[in-house]
Amino acid sequence: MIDLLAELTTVAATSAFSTMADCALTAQPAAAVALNGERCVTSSVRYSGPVSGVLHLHAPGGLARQISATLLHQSSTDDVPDELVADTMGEFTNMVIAKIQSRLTDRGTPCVITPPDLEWHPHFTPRGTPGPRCRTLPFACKHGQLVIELLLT
Amino acid sequence: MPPKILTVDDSKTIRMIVTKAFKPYDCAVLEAGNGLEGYALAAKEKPDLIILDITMPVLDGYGMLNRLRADRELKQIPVIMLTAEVGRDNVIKVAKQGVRDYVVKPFKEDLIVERVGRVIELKLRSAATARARNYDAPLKLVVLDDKPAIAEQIRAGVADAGWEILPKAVPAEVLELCQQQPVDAVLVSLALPEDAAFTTFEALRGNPQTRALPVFGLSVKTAADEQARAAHLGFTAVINKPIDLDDLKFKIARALNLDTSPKFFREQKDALILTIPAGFNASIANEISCLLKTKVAASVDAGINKLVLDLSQARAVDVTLIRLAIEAAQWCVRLSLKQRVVGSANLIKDCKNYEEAKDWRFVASLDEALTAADGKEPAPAAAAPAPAPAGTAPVPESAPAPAPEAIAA
Repeated sequence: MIDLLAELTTVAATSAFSTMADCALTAQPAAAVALNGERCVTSSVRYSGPVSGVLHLHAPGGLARQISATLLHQSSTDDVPDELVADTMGEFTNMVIAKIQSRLTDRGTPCVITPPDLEWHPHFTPRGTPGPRCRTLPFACKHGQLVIELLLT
Repeated sequence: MPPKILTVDDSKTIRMIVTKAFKPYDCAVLEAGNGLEGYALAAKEKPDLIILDITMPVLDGYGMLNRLRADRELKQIPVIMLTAEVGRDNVIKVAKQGVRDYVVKPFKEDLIVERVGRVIELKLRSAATARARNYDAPLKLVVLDDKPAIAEQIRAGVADAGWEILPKAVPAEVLELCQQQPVDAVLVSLALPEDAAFTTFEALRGNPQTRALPVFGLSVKTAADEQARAAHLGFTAVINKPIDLDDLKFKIARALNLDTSPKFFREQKDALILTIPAGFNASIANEISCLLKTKVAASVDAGINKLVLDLSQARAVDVTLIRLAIEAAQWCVRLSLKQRVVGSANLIKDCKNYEEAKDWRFVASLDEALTAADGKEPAPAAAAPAPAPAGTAPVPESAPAPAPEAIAA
């Protein structure tokens, strides 16, 4: 199940960032995670049903701000406040989790999702340990790297 | 009044995207962060359309939709869902509530504008504000024709209005130009090879920046098929070649909501003066006819008590002019305005050839018309006219019987 969800996540994230922010994501192997000590925004959405879990989207502040500025047609990243940067990442998380929700529902295992929780951290902090119930999915784009963690609970 | 669009989404980012997407259009976008706020705002503002998310805190999209549909005053407001949730059950659930459309996130801004445009009429702000622009406002018109002489003819014909003609021979240049700078209208030859007129039209309509741009087809009169195709696709109008430049200017002015009335109407003392130009023809008659009611009514509101029909520049009297004069007379009767006609001896002679005009009386000059004592110079009678010749505007219905002072002696 986790592999199916991870595959869906990859497709959904690639589509969302490309369509909304003209940002091409390239999936990377889990070991490629290279987020440095930069301040990081994390957006988390829970899905609950016969299959439950959490999806975390981690994005370094600079990258998230750049994506938000592009999305909102702002000429400068300075024009995008933290609150809006986090909100933008939350919306991307929402789009990704909605695809998972849809697939689970179509498989007869409907779930409900929560609005995203948004937090800023001094640096990237993984929430799970890669294993049978957790996948770490790094993505590269022209502005840097973002990471999605997919957890089954 | 411009339409109101209410976007209800817990994401400020999405609300901003939606608001920005509609910025080029003459509409107001209202925002709410959840279903409860959205319902309250809908009740207060009665928007023309609601763009609604599903997953939201406090009250979700389903909840708001239920409340809207249970509300007698709000249940008719069209709703378009804009949500990341694509499950079949979700779609069925909202479809039962009669939503107009379902747009799935991620989405392109153009898409939401296009879907909204299917439900309510969206006009570009530039077009909407054009109402205040005068006829001689600096317009930029792109002419796409592989015959440079056509663009030159149009350039010469609109020179009096000061409009700028940008001739292009290749569709790609038109599209590029429209992206680079604001243009006011595009005129394209329907006979261009390889269907270029129609592909250009579709490219312009497919771009939010140029979607509302008036596009005129240029076509020889006998090319009925291409004209029908253009009409079907939604070209603003088709202009026949050889081009009647007055007709072209009138159609452009109408498409852009330009105020052409200063060309024909002006106020002086207590009178509204309608000047018939030397090149008067059916197109001009049609244009004046379209303006007549509004101008006369506005003048009455402003305290004007007389309409002077100034024919001193007219070269001859014909049935089109007579019909227009009668229409003016009818509005004068309706709105209790006096009417005077200024004209030369030649025109008086012409009038004798027409039953409707043979008894008209003229004054010799504008000054005389403005100063003449009331009731001494009969004007065109507001009698029922003969059937309208092609190209003239219909005479207003239910015209009252002519007032005694307006009946020719």
